[in-house]
Parts: sequence; C-alpha cells; structure tokens
Amino acid sequence: MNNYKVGETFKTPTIEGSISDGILSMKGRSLPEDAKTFYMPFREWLSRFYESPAKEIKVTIQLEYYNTATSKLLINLLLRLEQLKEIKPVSVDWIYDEDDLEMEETGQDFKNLIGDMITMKAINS
Amino acid sequence: METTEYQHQDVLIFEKTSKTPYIKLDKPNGEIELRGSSIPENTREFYYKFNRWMAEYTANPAAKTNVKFALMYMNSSSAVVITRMLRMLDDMIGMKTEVEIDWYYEADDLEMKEIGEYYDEIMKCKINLHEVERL
Repeated sequence: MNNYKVGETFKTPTIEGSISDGILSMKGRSLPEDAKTFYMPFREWLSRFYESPAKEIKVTIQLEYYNTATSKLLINLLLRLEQLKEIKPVSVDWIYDEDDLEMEETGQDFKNLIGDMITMKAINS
Repeated sequence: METTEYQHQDVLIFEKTSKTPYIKLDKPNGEIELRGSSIPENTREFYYKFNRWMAEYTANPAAKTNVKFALMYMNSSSAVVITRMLRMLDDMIGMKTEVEIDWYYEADDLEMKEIGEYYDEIMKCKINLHEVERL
C-alpha cells in the first residue's frame, strides 16, 4: 500500500501520505477513543514510509489538539524522522494557529528535541 | 527579589501525581528512577530541581549509576528533558562511573518500546529494554 489516506472525523485527523513521493500530512484533532486501534494501520504504513525511495521526505503536521496517546506517537515519529535525516533531507512543517499558544509551544519543544528540520508556521485561520 | 533556591541534596524524591512521575534521585547509591506519566502543566518548572540535580550528579557521579525508566505517557517537553538527561549520562562514559540504563514499557505499548529503541540506537550507553505486563 503506497498511499495512506484517512478522512477527518470530530476526534481523528486527516492523514495522507505517499511512500513513493516521501510525503505525509496530518491535520485536525487527534483524540481517538482507542488510539492503539486507530493508529495501528498507520503505524504499519509508517514503518514502510521510513524506507521510502524518495529523494527527500516532507512532513506537514497541523494539529489543533491531541491526547497523550497521540503525543507518544508524534514523539516517536519525529525521532524516527530525525534518524532518517542522516541519509536524506527531511523537513517537517509544524503549522499552528497564531492564537494557539499550546501548539506553538509544542512545536518549539519538538524543535528543541530534533532541531532545525522543523519549520514553525503560524497561520491566521 | 524572586529567586528559585536550589540546595543540592544527595537524595531527592518526588511523589507521583496523575500528571507527573515518581522520581528518585539517589546519589550515594547512584540510583535514578522515573516511573509513571510525565505530562506536567509546566515542564520547565517541574523539572527544574531534577535538571539541577542531574547537572550536579553528572559532574561528580557515584562509582556505578543505575537508571530506570518506567514511563507510560510523556509529552513533547518531557521528551526534551529525557533526551537531554540521556545525553548527560552518555557524556559520563569515560568518567569513573559505569552507567546502566533500564527502559521498561508495557507489553502493548509500541510507542514507548520504539522510543526506548531509538534512545538505545543513538546513545553510546546500552539501554536494556524490558517488556512488562503492567507498569
């Protein structure tokens, strides 16, 4: 399965990705009742995404709110991307609403964790 | 004048709360333990003493250092604290101390397992991963 796609619901984000193109985006909220079940197919897809043949990897994360289970998933994802950066260019856009201080701080934390591969982008929605 | 006092103590214990882990920092026995969840409202404030203690400890460690992590949840700012802490421990290699790190995770917690694996890969220190039924 090259492409991964799930649509947004009130409690779960839109996720779209392509292994061959090396792109991934997550947008919306992530508060699944059962994060483990919701994210299991995505995790399986991710393990192949990390082996993407694309020359570079571009990830966009635009979350409004997420729960603690999702937090672990994001930490894990970003740490893996940081490792991947040793073999190819990886960029992560962290997009947040300019009024959303929490998401801004979280993006800053991730920048402290994995460095300049993250670009913070404030939007006015 | 607002100052945050920090008086170094050989042993420092933080009791567990729903958002912060149990922490034991024991210099005489070289024991460091974090157990529970780390999702504090204000991570910088919560980990202030911890970070100061770690800085003091790593400058003058016990002959053997045992570090135990048993975390169920952590937020992004806690991951920063833990990564820095592991780097400090890694820097102690070559000093007169042995470092042993144990990372416990619940059997169905693939995220914490993989985060532990990541740390094992990037650190010089060996991190022993332990799967347990329940933390």
